[in-house]
Amino acid sequence: MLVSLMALMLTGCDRDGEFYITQPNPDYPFLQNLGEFRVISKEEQADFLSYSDASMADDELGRHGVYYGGLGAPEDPSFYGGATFNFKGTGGTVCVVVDPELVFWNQAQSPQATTSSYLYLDNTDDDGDVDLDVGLTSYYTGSPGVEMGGFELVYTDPSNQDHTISFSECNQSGSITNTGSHSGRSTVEYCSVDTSSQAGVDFTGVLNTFLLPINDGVVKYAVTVLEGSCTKLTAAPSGIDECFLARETDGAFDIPDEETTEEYCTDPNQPWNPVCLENAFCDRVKVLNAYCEDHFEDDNAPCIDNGVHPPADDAADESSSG
Amino acid sequence: MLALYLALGACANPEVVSEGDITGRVVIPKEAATRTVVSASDDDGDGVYTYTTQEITDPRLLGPVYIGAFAGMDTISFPYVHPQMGPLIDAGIRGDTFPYGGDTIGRIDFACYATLSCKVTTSRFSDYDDVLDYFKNDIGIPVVDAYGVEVTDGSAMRQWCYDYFAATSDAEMAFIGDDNLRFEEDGDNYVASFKMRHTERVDGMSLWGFMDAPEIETDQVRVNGTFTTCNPNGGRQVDAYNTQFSEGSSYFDVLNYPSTYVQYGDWVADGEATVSFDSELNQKEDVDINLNFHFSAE
Repeated sequence: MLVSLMALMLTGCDRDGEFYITQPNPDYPFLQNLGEFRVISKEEQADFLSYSDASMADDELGRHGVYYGGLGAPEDPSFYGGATFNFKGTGGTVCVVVDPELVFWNQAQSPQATTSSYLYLDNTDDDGDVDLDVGLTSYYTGSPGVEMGGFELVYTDPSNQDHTISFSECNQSGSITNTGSHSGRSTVEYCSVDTSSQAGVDFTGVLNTFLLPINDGVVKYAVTVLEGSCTKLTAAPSGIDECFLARETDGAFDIPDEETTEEYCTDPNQPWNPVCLENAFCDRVKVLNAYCEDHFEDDNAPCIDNGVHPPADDAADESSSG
Repeated sequence: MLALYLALGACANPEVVSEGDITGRVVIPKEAATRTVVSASDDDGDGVYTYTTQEITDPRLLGPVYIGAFAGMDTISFPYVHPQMGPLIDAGIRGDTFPYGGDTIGRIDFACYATLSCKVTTSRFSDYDDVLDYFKNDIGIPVVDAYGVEVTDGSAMRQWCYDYFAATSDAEMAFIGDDNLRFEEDGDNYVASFKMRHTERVDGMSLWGFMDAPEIETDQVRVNGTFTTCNPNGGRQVDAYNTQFSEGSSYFDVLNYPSTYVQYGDWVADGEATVSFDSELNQKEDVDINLNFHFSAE
């Protein structure tokens, strides 16, 4: 009896959670200072494609356009990691956008889920999360490239009581309209920053590493600063979505154009790739389900067959015959 | 023996936390409940109302009272005494007052009918008939149901409220009940006791508040009964098959940015109430918050 109990206890020690702790990668420091960003003008946004040479090009002052990068893990998991960058106020509103890899969706729970775009489970091993913040550089409490900080300062009232005040200029509202919200894993974050009285004044953008993908320990991301309000961007007249900053995923840049066409992406005999997945995700209506079904058996498949829902086509057939 | 020693030691070290309950009274002049009100009548039942006005004193005319504890008072920035504010951060937005705690004497509640959204304060009404009477004879807008038919009987309102809230007793209706009435007459004033729970206790801090008076116009009754501290888009969103509305709820930052909500007609505290504590943070004595300043255009 005692031996059996000890054997069970030893089995219990088999799981230590180390699987979830990613290892440092010398190519992707956990703390980075990205330098200065230019503000992509409305004129340049007219034919905006985030991964075009023109969008990514630095200007004559070496300021980045759309920046594609990656953040790794620290040696000590208790350290906060992330990246910082600067840009100058234009005297108007600018939009700061960051998109971490890859895409994430919650599996549909509705019994009528055959009408949903999200029948299948997302493979979350390839998903990361970075949280965006922006404020005046003079209020930033961190040391770029050395230590992460924020825009919270202490105000001491006349009765000597301390109150923490946020000087963040990046107000993101959640579903219940609380400012200070952030998107979840792999989901684009953006905020409009009013620089109307601060033309030429330095602003600091902060990307806080919230989650590193388990598969490689590096969260790839794309980040940029654009002229205009996020809700009225020339580059995104119908709003910012997951495909606004495209191909942020590891290796997506190396995928040849012929492997991103609609014909290729809808061919079940071709292996999956992150560009096709992102396009399927953005097309919304059932395309994602079909893409998932075609690639359940692929290596590191992007979706997981939960075994609950029938393939969408079958469900449609049942629906029409019923 | 050791256990006894440890037990005694524990008794000698009472937990002292900086938060605690603050007690006192809110005092508001009867004048604040004296208004020229509008009474609506439809004697011939043709659905067309005639209106008469008269000046009355009625504690039901006291809207929600918001009180808070603050670092100090600002007597310069506004035409009334206002809590001291922190730094101005965003253009056009006053500084946060950073209250240490707060309470209400009556709060905005939803009283079953869409037409009563943002118009009913708890702790003011005895029963359903009391609510119907107030809106017909003080506000000038008789309560109507979802079909626009006037509700004239408290029992009909009760039945509707039970259906709406899936309730089974009047005790579930926060906006009525003799036991819930908070204000009592005291000479020329109405007085209500309060317990400001879980408040940061800072010796010498100020207590301040204001009463959000209901809108009453004698020539345009349409807006009557509303409160500036109520968010008409807040609260539960009702989307039934034949009706869509919001129940309304108080704004969440009334004590943080009170100047946003204090309007002409409201009654504001003089800011002279302060609280003292002994070395163990026991409140030395109850405090009266006097809402004796009428903020008016004159």
